[in-house]
Amino acid sequence: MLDMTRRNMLQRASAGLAAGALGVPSGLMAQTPQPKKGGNASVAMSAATETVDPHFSRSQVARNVLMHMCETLVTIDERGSPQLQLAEKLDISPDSRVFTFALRKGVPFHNGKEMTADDAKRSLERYARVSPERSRLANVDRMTTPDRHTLIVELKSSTPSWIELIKSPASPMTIIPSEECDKEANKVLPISTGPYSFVDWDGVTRLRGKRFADYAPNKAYAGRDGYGGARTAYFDEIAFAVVAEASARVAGLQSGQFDILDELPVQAADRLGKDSQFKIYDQKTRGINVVPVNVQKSPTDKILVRRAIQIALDDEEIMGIATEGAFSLNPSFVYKDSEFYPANASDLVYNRKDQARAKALLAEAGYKDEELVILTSGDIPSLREVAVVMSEQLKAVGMKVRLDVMDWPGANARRNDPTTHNLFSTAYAIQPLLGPFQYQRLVSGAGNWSFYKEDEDMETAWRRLLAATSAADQKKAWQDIETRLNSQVYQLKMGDRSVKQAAKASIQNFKPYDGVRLWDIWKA
Amino acid sequence: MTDAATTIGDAHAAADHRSAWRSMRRLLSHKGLMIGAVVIALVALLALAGPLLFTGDPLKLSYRTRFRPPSSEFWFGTDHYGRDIFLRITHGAHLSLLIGVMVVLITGVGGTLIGAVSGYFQRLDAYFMRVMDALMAFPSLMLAIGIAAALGSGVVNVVIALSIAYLPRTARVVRASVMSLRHSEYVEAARVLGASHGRILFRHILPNSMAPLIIDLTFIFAYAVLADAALSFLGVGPPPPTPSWGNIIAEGRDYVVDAPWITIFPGLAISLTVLGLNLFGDGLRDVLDPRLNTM
Amino acid sequence: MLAYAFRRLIGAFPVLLLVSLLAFGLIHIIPGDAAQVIAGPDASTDQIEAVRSTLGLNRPLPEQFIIWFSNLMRLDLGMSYMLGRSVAQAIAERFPVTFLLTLYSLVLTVPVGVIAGLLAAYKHNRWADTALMTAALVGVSLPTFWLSLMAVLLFSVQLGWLPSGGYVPLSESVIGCLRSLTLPAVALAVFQIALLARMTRATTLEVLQQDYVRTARAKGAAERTVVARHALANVLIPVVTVIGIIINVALSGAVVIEQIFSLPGVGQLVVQGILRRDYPVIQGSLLAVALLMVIVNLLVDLLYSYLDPRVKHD
Repeated sequence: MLDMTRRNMLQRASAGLAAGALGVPSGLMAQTPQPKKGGNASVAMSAATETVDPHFSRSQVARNVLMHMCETLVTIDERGSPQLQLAEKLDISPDSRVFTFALRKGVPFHNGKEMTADDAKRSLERYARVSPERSRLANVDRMTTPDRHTLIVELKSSTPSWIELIKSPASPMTIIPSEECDKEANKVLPISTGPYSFVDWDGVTRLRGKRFADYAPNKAYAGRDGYGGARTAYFDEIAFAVVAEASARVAGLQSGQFDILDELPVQAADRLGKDSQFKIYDQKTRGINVVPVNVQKSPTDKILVRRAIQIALDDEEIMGIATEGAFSLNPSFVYKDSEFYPANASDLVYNRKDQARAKALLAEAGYKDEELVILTSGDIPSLREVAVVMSEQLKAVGMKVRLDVMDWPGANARRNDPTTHNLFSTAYAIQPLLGPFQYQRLVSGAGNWSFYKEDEDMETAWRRLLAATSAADQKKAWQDIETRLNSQVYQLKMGDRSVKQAAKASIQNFKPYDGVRLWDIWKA
Repeated sequence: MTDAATTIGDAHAAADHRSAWRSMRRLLSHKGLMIGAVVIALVALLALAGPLLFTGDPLKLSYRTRFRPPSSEFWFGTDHYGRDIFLRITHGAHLSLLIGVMVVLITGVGGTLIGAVSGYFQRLDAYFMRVMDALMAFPSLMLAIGIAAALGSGVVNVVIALSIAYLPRTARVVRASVMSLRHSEYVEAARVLGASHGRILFRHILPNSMAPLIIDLTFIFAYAVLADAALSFLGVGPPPPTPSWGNIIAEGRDYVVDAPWITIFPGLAISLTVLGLNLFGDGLRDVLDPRLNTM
Repeated sequence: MLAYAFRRLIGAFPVLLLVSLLAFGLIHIIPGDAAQVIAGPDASTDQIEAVRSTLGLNRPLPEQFIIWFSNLMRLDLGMSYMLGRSVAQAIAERFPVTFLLTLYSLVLTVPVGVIAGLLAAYKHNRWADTALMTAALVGVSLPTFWLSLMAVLLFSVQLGWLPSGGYVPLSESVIGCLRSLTLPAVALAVFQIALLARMTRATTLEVLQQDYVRTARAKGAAERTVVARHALANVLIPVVTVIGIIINVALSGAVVIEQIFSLPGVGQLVVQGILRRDYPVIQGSLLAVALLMVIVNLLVDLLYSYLDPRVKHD
């Protein structure tokens, strides 16, 4: 039996090719000016990357900047599915244990050296040593390089979903020159094979890059596709500025200081949208708002109380306020266009706004004024806003609610402690794009975020998902997981959040994605 | 000798009684002071009676009423939660005042004690001032951020953080006055006449050192109200949905261009309150400063 | 005086030790650590523990402090967990921004504040006094960050005169640097000018009513000479004290101002350090700031005793 993952990937590669070819319709070609090289682009973001060491990074802001410089063996396409990048071919043994990567030839690093299998091997070894996501490689038994352009990875056990683990751009498995690979965590600069090379970073407010003249685009594709495809850099220099104040970002765009803005307030987007100098974009896969429910601490240790909370919530109001109206309602933990979107989504308990039923459930549970603690972080306004609106809705059905607002690391530290909170208002950024496999440690096993001790139904469903070798089986298993999450009220899904982005009208061919992409766009 | 010292003290006391009436008249006739007093009284009234007068719910939110500009329905408009800003400001008044009063009390009393002892007993000076120096060596907001981050956000923690941050200031101000008065003629006279250290310090030096402290405390009240807002702005103030003035501004800062009323009104409320306090403090200073009294 | 200065400098070491202990204690009370920030919110306990051991955060606290402190004794502030550079280098990069900002606002503050204060005192109870003091009152009553937001609204959004944020290094462009610092410096200075004017006026009035000034006046000295010779000399005392306070206020205000105007200064370094639990950065920059403040306070005290012979340091 040929592995489905590989078959899917080949299909996807050709689909990507076709889509790429169709990507620029002829009518549009006539309208938009031809791509031209030159000029600079400056992006204003709300937060700084935590590091420039690709193996050490993990955040969305890090991807925003590092994906311009970094490339991986496997990356993700527009829908979040795996796609080959520095590998031109991947063979997977029938037992899903041996992965043979045929690397592309003639791909230079920013330092001028040509990439070889040795670089790839050493990079993965460093990743396994320093990355916060090193567990993705925990199952690797050994790696060998029979020739300059072949890397064979043997796993300790059969893992059909291994590609799903290594595709993630959150802490990307970036291929860097082998001589960099002995350096400690956080000591490596993003020297890789991407379309832009790294220039400098002041650690806080500004990171710069420049076009990599010798960049070798992936000719297997016709155009950009997710973080992969054939990438073309047009700008001479790129800069990422961190501007924490939204109003200052807007002022900077208006004064010409910036070309592209991330995280634009909706109000400002409406205003700028009326100005022909600017274009507004919707980034619809920015993340989902979720609230893990602690099943250990009273009162949410009672399933009836959890159900009362679930049925009381008006998710439309919560998301409407937390996103300034830029959201879509969705009970699932994957996006609606995902191949994993559960068929029974409309049956899940979500956005019911049923106060009477909630009160009845609370009465049935014998709830009497026990304090419900909602933990959240003030650093990310939308998380705090979800918590505030939710707390008002729960007060309306007679619950006693307290908000515990910490900074982001503080909130996450407290999240780990089941004695501190009942609900945690947070968000998953890339998980819904990457699909089910990313959720494993959040909703199953000993470290699950709901602190449930045993749930055989859930664990069985996960085993089925991981062992599944057909798309239908995977889909069925994931649907069971989502259904279980919903019926046990382990996690409350609030909705899908989109983000407004703005660019000068002169910026051509911009398309929102997980990160801001400065390749395949140019200035008219 | 002790009798003589007592006599000097009594003379002071008698003068105090005579001047009290005059001071009262001067207080009432001081324009700035009266304006300040009226402003503070109004804000205090708002803080105490506001929730009774304006009975709406400052926490009530609604998706439909978001970003409403000021109107007859919402006097100061609504925020991005659709909450009534006017109600939030009136209900938030007591919190801002409370934080200010608490900080002033703690730093005033603590600073006086530390500053007096430190300025008068030079042997202790070094120890006290080293600790104060260490605290003062942190810029006050950085210290407050650190403390608030460590203790978590909450009204009490804001008060603690700001008090610790401003304590060295009041201590230094009092210490400086005490040090410059320690060698003054009348203190030397009292000392020669055998007055005890305590009596000299609390009877002769401190009353005459209060003027700079009062001036400084008006500033500290101002700082406390302003710093509470700044802490909220940096995300370490009283937790939401508490309608403190700082929180209202912090929550409106993303909309300052498109919905400026969210930030303008609480900003004005803060400015007006601080203005009133400063006027009042200045007036007190004009009237009660002993050196001006002797004019 | 020299002996006193030397003693104070020696005395500064316990202060700095206290500061580092305080900073060290404080940041370790803050929940969450660097390992957890690096590993990310959805990391497993094992992953966090692995990062912790990489960073040496699994050692007992006293041991960590001793390691940090013994490195400090060799003038080594350590490496940042996140910035990919040494703490000393990070501070050296950030410090000029904060220094320039503070200097810029002080240059605006001192002349304006002193002159306004003297003028108000000299014209006591006349319209100039009232007008100046009303302006000063408003000045100390405006929240600095609120004023900054309004300034961005007016000068960047509406008029488009000055950039809304960002920093241009002095080495790249002098004009650009001044432009990028003008709004934040003015926003800081408004409060400081008002503060200094009020303090100057208060002390000048006090001095003008003191015996020796009245004697000079009674002797028939011209009013201007009285103010110039006697009052001015004494006014320097509070001015010096206030400048010490102002540098503290400016460094404090810088935390907020740098945030609003996205200036890569020491304030941002500390705030970002706290936000990322980058302990070496927090400790190092707090210590650097503390050292600066200790020096400023020492200079203030020395000037104080130099200007006021009644305060003796022996």
